[in-house]
Amino acid sequence: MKGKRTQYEIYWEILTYCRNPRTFTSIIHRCSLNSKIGQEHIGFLEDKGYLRRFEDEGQNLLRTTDDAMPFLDAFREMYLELFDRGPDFKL
Amino acid sequence: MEQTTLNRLKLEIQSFKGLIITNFIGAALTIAFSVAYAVPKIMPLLVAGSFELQMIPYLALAIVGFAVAINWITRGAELMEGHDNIVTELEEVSPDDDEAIIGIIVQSLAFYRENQPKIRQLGMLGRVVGVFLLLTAVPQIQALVASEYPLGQVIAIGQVFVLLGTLAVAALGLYATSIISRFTVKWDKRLSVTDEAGEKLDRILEG
Repeated sequence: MKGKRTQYEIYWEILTYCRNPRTFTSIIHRCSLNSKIGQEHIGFLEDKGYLRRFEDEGQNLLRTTDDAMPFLDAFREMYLELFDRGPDFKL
Repeated sequence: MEQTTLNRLKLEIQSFKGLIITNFIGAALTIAFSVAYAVPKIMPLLVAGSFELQMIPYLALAIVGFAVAINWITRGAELMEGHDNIVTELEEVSPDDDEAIIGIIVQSLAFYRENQPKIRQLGMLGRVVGVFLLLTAVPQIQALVASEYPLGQVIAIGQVFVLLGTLAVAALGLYATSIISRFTVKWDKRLSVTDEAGEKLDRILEG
């Protein structure tokens, strides 16, 4: 992923990716974040209770909680609407 | 609903690719015309090394035409590179996969946010080339109207073709500018909608 994303778009990517348990390293790799920024975003989502950290077979994993659903649903609705009823461009 | 969304998204992504290709064609034709128009005038300099003052405008024309066109191609190539990644992912998306569709939408918005200045520069370059070529067409039209080249001579027919070519490339440059302008209006609107969405999402996140 290249380009300038908003923090909400990054949160959406992290929370969507973490529907299945993921390591910190795989999250920052998948979401194209550096360690510092990744830690800030993941820390924020953990603090709010949208991500839960747990241990499994010696691995430190993160998983999206049910509390994140209102955010994910609202994001889905708003972004699909951009191309559903929004202005279109064609040559 | 998702099918419509995916179709709209595909149409827009493909249109943007067409827009970049139009710019490549414009840039290539600009190089061709700057060479075709200026090189014959500075031929004595190239062949015999003899310099005359009246060659200066044509030398400048060739250099400026080249510089603008190379800049135009470079901007287009940079945009094409980032855009191709989105096109590749879009081709693999299933109409039922909302998350993948939203992922492409997020990538497209991020691409536009990052490349807004380059896209606007493309529009400006198209306008500069269009206006510049229209200006160079004026003396050509004057020469034809004044019958400086007697009709029937090969040089007169060639002059007509050069004039038509100049007008065609000028039109292409101005057309590219107008579609880039339409594109930026649509995407600016989308970015403003995402800004509003951000406020709502912030309220949800903060509970």
